[in-house]
Amino acid sequence: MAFVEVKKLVKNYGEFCAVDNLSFVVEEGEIFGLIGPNGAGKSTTINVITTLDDFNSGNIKINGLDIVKDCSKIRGLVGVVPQEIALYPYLTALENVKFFASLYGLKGKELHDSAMKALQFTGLADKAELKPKKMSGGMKRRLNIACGIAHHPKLIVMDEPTVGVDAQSREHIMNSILSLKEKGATVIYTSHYMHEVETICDRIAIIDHGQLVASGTEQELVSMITDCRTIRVKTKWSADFDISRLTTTLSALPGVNGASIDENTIKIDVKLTENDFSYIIDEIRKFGLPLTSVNCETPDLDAVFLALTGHDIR
Amino acid sequence: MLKVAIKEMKGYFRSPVAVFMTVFFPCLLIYVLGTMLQSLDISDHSIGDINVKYNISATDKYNADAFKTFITGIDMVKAEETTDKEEALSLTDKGEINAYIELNGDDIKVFTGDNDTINRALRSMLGSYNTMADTYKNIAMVNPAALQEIINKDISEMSYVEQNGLGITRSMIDYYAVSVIVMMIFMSGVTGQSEAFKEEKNTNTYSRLLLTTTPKLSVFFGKVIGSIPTSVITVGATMIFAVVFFGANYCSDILGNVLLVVMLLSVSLAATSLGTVAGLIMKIPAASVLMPICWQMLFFSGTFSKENFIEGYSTSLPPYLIQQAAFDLTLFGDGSGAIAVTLISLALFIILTVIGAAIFSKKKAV
Amino acid sequence: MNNIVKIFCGTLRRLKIAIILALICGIAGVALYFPGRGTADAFMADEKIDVAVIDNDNSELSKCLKTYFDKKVNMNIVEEATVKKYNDMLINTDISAIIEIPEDFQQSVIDGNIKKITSTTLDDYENAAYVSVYIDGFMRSADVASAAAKGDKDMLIKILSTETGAELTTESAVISSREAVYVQSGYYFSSGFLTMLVYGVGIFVTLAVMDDKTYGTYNRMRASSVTGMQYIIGTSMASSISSLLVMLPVLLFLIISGAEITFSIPYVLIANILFALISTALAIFIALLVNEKATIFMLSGCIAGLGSILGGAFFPIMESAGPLKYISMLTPQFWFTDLVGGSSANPLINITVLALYTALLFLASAVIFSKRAK
Repeated sequence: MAFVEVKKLVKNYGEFCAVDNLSFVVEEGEIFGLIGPNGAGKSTTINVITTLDDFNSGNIKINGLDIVKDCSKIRGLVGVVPQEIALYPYLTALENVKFFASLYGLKGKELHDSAMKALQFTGLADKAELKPKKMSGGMKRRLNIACGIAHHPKLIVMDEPTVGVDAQSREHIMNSILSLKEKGATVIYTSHYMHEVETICDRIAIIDHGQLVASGTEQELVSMITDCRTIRVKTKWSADFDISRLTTTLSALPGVNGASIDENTIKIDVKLTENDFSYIIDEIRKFGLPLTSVNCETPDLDAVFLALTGHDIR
Repeated sequence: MLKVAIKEMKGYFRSPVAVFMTVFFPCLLIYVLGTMLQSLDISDHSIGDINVKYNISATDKYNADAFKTFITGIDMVKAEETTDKEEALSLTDKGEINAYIELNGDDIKVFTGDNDTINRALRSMLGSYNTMADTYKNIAMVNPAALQEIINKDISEMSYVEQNGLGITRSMIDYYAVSVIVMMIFMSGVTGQSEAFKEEKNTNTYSRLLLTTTPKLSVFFGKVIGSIPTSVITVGATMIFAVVFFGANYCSDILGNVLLVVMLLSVSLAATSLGTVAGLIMKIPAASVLMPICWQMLFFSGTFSKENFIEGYSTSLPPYLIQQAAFDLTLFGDGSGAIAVTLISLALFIILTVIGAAIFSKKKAV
Repeated sequence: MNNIVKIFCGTLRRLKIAIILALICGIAGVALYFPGRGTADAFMADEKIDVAVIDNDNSELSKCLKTYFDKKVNMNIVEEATVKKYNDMLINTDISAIIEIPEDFQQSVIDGNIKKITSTTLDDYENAAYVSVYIDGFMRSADVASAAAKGDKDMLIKILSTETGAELTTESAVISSREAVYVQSGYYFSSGFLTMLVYGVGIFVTLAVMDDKTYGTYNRMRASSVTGMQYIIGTSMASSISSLLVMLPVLLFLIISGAEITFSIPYVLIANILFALISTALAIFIALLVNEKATIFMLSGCIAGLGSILGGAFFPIMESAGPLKYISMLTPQFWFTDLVGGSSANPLINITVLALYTALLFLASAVIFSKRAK
């Protein structure tokens, strides 16, 4: 049984359909990426899953509990890290975390310990007495996360948690999320930074216009738009060199879809299933050509995203 | 619920602006307005001493003596006889004397200066003299035989008036010590609390609050309970400051003061619950609607100045009724109004809180 | 110079609403001059004083007494209310006294054993003696009438109520014109409100400078050739325009309309300009010092409202204000209103103090500014 099951979710705002028969599952213990262009319905989907909003039709289960019938039980399982910084400016970091954790029923020593652990986890233990207005943007983001995880939720929903954050803080946050996974938490992660999603997410769903466009691992998504990667070999040859023989030879190699020349660069399209290209390099060497650089370009999530959702500005 | 309430209290105590506006600002207002306006709290301007010159002509000796005795016999009036009319008029014009009076036959003519208060007092005194003169003339007509006996009766020193002080004083500091608290209750209670949930939206914590396992109603009641310390501090601290530092007087007995505090607190609770409900109902910022309404109610209730009063309208305004109940209690020891206000306020508080809870429970988080 | 002009023009554009508001306030200042003229008549009294009468006798004699109060001694009688209401009115200084006519008053006069009239006033009512004099005037008449009437009620009433036709007339002996006094009072009254309004307009400047600080547009300006001093000068010039638009119209109105001005126009003009600069400097000073809008509104409200009251903007600070009088001297409003109200012994001192305030505030702003710039 999946930890989160969303079946044929529909959410309308008047006549506008924000989520249109969306279905996906999230397995327990995985980091699930939810990406899509602006206005795709990500936030609406998250709001519904986290019980902030109702929905028109469909079925949502979290840990086997129905979201309509067992709303308050589900709330106890879910921790939310919203996109906006949701902190009280007049409370210290520790007070903010303790306050939100207490609203989940934590008390006394357990409350304090959980709050401190959450601050330690996000690298803010030494900033416990600092108020948000004295914190940098990165620290506020980490505190925002601490407030969402202090009550040990089983499902953590993170809505663009690294917006406006420096590289160090981003790295820390990424590592923290991976740690959460190691501790058994399930994470739904949304972001516009594809590199982050690629790095940490086990599976990714792309939604657009309220519908699921594609879902799967990164490799599965990439294979939807292409079955090959490109190797670019930069070299030099003399004017009388037989380029066409080179390209023909390379094209005939197993696992190679085609080869072409682009100025001083040999461009070879290799099947995605091929992970060892040394034989291709050896073949080029047989022609006695010097190799000044070798690059392997695999289509990334950005390319997949753009290919599946289009290039129009939303 | 308690956690939310404690969080609210922390927000209040840690905001220098909030503490200043609810504690120090009202105390400042009491002191400044109470001190500055004390001299303006009068029913009519003080007359003080009157300095006049007079001239008697074309009248009998009896009338002349009677007038002289009258005009020189009033302690507050310094009267000097003169024959130089021009000089007397000139002195009056320059303000060196207050008036020049001519008795010509039975008729009195007063040449007045520019002090209308003294002019009125002179008219009144001379009107009184005329009444006495008329009385003697009438006696001469109806019972001349009695006249001699009456003339011999020296009544000039007799007083027929029992002069009492009310025994109750209320300085302007005493007045503003009550009215400023009423003002704070309405302004910060009603309008301030109307923004309570908006503040959560401003800090983006509204959704986070409602995401938790704590029931919505607990969050709501926590917010309401969290506003109680603000009310207690506004009322309590202002009263203590006013008494200790500015010499304000409330009730003379402890029980009266307790009733006064209870009344003001209950009004404060009703006001905050009203503000909360208004904030939940209105789509536009509730403060922008409530502030002008509260302001004009306070204005015509005499909160800012006693003189702003419209008969029939002001007496129906809540701030006026609250102030009157407070003054009845502090000045006359009459607690009936205070009890009525307390009970009504508590009932309003309960009803509005229930309504607010019902509205809030239906509100969506996004 | 070019940069200063650019900042000046840019700030003026940003302060469009403030300029319009300032113009409205300036016009309001002219409008306020007219009701303000009436405040010169500080001793202008109502024709009658208000007294409550509790008539426990309801006799012909008590009616005579009440007629006497109304017609002879200029009292406006309030009747038909409860004793509690009278007490409230007395405490509120809505009436000057509660006069109580005792039961069997008429009979006691007829019998020659006159019961006293009770007059209740506030303990500190200064005219209580005069009220007693007025009442005694009738009562002495009643006493002698009673002696003459020898128990005859009708004769008693006839003696007391018949007027012999003696006239009491009044004529004003004041021939010098009070117009100058009215002009001074009107200008003082109007200026008082303007000292408050000018700070209200100044909030726009404060918010504009704060926005430059908060959103970093100031730093953007600095990245160009604009120096900090040029920014301050340009902004101050624009703000001063709005402040002067508030302060000057009423003075200009008086000059142009040929009002009977007895105060020194150059001094008052300088005082107006200085006060406009003070409000500008204060607006910028607050913007540089404070980071939150709520605090700005609070500070501006206190300076405008409380500061103006303390400074004697609406009514002169009486000696009875005690230590408050010395506190009020700390406010620039005091020195300004003291000068325009005509009560300053030496206007040069007022001008000097105002100039010092201006210099101090601009200097303080410059210091904070340069510290922040580093």
